[in-house]
Amino acid sequence: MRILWLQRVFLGLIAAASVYASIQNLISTRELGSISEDPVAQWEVRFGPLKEQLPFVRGVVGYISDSDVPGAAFDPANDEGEYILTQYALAPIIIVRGTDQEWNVANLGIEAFARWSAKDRFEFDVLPLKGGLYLLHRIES
Amino acid sequence: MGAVLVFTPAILSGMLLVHILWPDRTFWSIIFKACLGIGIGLGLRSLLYFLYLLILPGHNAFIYIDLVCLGCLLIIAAARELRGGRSGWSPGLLPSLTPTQHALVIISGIVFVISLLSTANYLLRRRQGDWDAWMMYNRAARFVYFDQAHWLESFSPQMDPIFHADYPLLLAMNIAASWEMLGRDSAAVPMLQSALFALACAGLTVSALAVVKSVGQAALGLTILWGIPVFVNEGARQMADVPMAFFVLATGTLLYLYVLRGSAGLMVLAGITTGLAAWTKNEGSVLVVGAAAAVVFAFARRHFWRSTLSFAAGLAVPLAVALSFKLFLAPSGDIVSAVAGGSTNQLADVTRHTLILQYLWSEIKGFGSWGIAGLGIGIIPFLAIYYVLFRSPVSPEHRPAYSAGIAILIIQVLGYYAAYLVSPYDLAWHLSYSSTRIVLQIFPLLLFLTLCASQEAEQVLAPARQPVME
Repeated sequence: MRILWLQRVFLGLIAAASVYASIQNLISTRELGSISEDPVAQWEVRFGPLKEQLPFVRGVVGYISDSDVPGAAFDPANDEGEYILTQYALAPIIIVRGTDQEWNVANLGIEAFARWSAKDRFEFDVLPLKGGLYLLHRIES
Repeated sequence: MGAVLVFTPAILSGMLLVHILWPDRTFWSIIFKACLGIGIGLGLRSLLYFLYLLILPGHNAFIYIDLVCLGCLLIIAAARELRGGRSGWSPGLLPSLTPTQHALVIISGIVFVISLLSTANYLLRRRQGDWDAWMMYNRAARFVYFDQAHWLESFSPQMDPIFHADYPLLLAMNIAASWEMLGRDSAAVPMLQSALFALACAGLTVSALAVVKSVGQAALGLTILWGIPVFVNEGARQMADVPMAFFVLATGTLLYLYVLRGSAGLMVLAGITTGLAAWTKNEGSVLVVGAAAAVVFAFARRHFWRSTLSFAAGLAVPLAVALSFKLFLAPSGDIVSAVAGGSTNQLADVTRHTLILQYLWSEIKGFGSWGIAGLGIGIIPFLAIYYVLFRSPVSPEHRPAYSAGIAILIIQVLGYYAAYLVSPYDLAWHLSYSSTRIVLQIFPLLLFLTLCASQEAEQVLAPARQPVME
């Protein structure tokens, strides 16, 4: 008889804990962000003009960000996230780190762009776009 | 609404295929088949789209193929129904419930509705999913959809390995197929696909428990599964872990039902779900080994050839497509490259074994926590206590069902363990990033087996009453 009551209490605990956890989870999912904003879609909009400037639909472009510029400050987590979002936004174009390709994307802050320009700008035609984006076209030597 | 419509033919085709292979007609088996049909339909449609792209890239004609498949399955199912007559249908579809069962169903319904709202909340606030969704599955779908004629270039070895172009394509191909049918890349498609797999997984747990145990046990299963936030949230993240959990659970429950009912169609379906797991995630290839071993191990003494051949018949097509993709199209994967590069040296590294076991122990203790202050343990210790309190004797004829399920779970865990051992990544990072999700992949099957091996909730709450079974 004692085991029966223990079992009943245990079932009650599971049910109560599940209801509690589901309510708590409902409250916490409201804090994930705004329903009206979609940061990934915004990133895609940001890259839209750059994608239009590229002379191909599918191909390979180089990519640099603040972390590729010696001396420039950057947040490693943000830097990797932006790299992944850029690949997502530019699909089906493949991005590879560096500026060895004919066409390259620079996603740079003001300070990083100044540092990069001082050293490497002469190799490229630079098309500045909104939001710290630059399209770099390698000048044929 | 458009996103719902583009998934409908695949889901109906899946349901019809399941019904053709297992024409059982009780109420709960119909619900089970409907839930199973969602995953199988989406999985097979993904395979079909992959084959279609190999033959007819850039033609935008997949909708016709999808509808022709549905039409053919509808004709076959209708012909079988007409030939068999309607005498097999239950007189009333809805089974009658005892007051105790009503109470359990109401509690599980409350948990389900609240968690469904959480899923909707999550999906609407993360419309493009989470990190791995943009990095792998939705990204791969965009690579295929935006330049369908040259889709094979999506698997270029030039792509940074971080984007895992080698990953199996079940989710990505379904998204790309749906976008093609819809005529635009709508975020609603991956959102709906994610929700469908989460709902199908919950539905499969409930209906399988109702078929093999009781309505009360099914309600308890739903209360536990959808009462843990990690499962509910994962179902909305647009990643492949809940679909993988669906196929692990489907394989385990189909093998269980095969032991109970003996229909060869159930074993064919188990082969299909195993093959589709390999088309969902790299971990799915471990399920192929685990499920094949489970079939051989559990049915060595009973109907061995019938079981093995039926399983192989279901497994053949999805596994062949998944293997062809891996062998001829996909760039080399991270684990395979690491092994080829000599990471097997890490097998003897004691510190790696220690770290993996520490993380594994931490997941056993903490996975699926309810987030109640002061209660620092997760659902697995609770399930262990539950089993000690509620366990019921397993009849000898049911033992192969448990042997099969337990073999799948053990081999799956060993596969994960081996992958961590040879992983090329920083091990602590790799474990912290993925260990919860790999436990999630096997948790629904673990829950199902535990609840099957226990007394029905009705027997405990109202011992004088016998549960009304369908």
